[in-house]
Amino acid sequence: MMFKLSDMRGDAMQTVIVARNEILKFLRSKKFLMFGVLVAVLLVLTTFLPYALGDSISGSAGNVFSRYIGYASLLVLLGATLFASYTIVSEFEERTALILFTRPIRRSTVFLGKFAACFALTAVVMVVYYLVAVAVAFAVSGSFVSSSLSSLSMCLAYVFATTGVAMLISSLMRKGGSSAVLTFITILLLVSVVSAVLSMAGTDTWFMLDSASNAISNSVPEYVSGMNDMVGEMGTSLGVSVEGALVETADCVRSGGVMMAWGAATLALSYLVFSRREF
Amino acid sequence: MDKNPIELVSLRKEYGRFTAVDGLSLGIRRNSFTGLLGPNGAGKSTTLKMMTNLIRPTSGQVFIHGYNVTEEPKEALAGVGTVIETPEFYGYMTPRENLRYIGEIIGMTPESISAQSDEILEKVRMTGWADKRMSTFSKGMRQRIAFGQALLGDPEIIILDEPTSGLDPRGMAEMRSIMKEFRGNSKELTVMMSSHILHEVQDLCDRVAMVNCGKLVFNDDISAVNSMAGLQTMVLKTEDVSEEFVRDRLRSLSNVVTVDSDGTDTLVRFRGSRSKLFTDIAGLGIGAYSLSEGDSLETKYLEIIKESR
Repeated sequence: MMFKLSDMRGDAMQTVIVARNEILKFLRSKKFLMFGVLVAVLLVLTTFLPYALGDSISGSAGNVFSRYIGYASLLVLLGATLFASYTIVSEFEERTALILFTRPIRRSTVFLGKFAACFALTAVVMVVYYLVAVAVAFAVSGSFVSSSLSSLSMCLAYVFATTGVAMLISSLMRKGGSSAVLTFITILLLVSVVSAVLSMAGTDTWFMLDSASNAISNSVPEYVSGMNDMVGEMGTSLGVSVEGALVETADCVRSGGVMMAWGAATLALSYLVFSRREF
Repeated sequence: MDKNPIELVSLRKEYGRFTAVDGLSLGIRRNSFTGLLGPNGAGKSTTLKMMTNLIRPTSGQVFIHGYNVTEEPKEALAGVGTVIETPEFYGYMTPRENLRYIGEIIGMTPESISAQSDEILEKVRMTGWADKRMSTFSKGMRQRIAFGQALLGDPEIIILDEPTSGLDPRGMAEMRSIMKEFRGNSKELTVMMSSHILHEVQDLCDRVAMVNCGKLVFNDDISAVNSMAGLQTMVLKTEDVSEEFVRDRLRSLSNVVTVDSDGTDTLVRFRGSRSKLFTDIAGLGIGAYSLSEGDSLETKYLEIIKESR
């Protein structure tokens, strides 16, 4: 029993070491810089462009916050593409596995460390993004956006899910570039195409990743009413009924559960592939 | 205590219909330096990769320190330093940072990592590059660091796959000198290395294992290589006489088994005493001016590989 406990402590220490090294890898690479610059540009444009174009600096906290929240899922996708899609394949492509895997370390420890690093990097960037959005909303309206926490929790669940999908692709691919492209296409296009086909067949696609990820923005009531107002105006001007296109406030428990399930399933599969992968 | 620290038991690796390693059983003796020899595609690298948990055997087991490498890699590979092929390092890190990372993984304290890193970098002549990012390093420089990282934590076992590959002649000599230094130390160290450079194995190893077509075809002390068939090899240099004349005269000697010539040197394989051969050749009148020991490992290697085909 004592041995097992010390063994687990050793594994936990090694997980932290692998995660720290992985974070250092991304921090020193151009990928993180690119991601950081993109997020900063997006924040600056979302904050100042509407006012530069003549919008008045006013509105409720929820309305101001809604301007930012629409881009969150795209940023999460970029994070998964830049970090998680690269993390496993790079050990084989760059032959660093020859150094790391021949050491007294379990594959599960390496996998956990890499997952922790990729999840943490994207999650931290998203938390900063949310903090800026909430701060701007507070500065404009003087009140706190109560739905920002539920939106953030949905966003983190989406980070978990996309990290799982990206790591699964990374475990299967031989080249980092192909893994990144396939991750981006899979999450952005393939999942949406499958959802669209299922919808056309009359299936409710609540279990699909793209549908569940809508909860990031649809958990904010002001975003939902803003979208519905816009859809309603379009319908009126076109003279068509838009009842089917109206957005509903998200069921956060169900959407969060779906995203966690996607993450858990893809991570389990990814580990299975990674643990059996040979050099 | 005398149990072999490395045991390969009926090891087999198949890739589809191709069998890379075919029922290989081999015990590596404690504190021995064992050279693993074999032609290209013989299964040397595959064997070493199975020993270091990079690939899984189709059947059979590898035991290190009594632990099955596939099932208990963490326990088996504790205290094992490895250099497999030419590994790459994390290019965004310096050699010192790479050594620290590996040191942390194997559970060394920050103090011992720091102290040993300096020592290792000095040993592999990389002190001047210790704090430069490795992305710009040449293959030879990376191989030096690879060799250095295998020494971290004072391993009891070192597994090397062509350790001097990619090094310039000076680098090769330096690496051999470091390994000889280890052999001279009284500390516990078992080394298994594959190499294509036969004189390197002859120079460093006290045991030699030869594989061909995935099978073990020879495993013994290196001294046994010379005496196994009772044949020895000497290289003869002559002047002012024809090759044919030299060959005919040498073949007339009763203890000479074969004579081959490559245009400049004559390779004489013989049985019995070297001094008698020397005296006999001096009396042949063939203009002999040099008689030196030939590479017996090479001769034996070629014979064994040829026989085992």
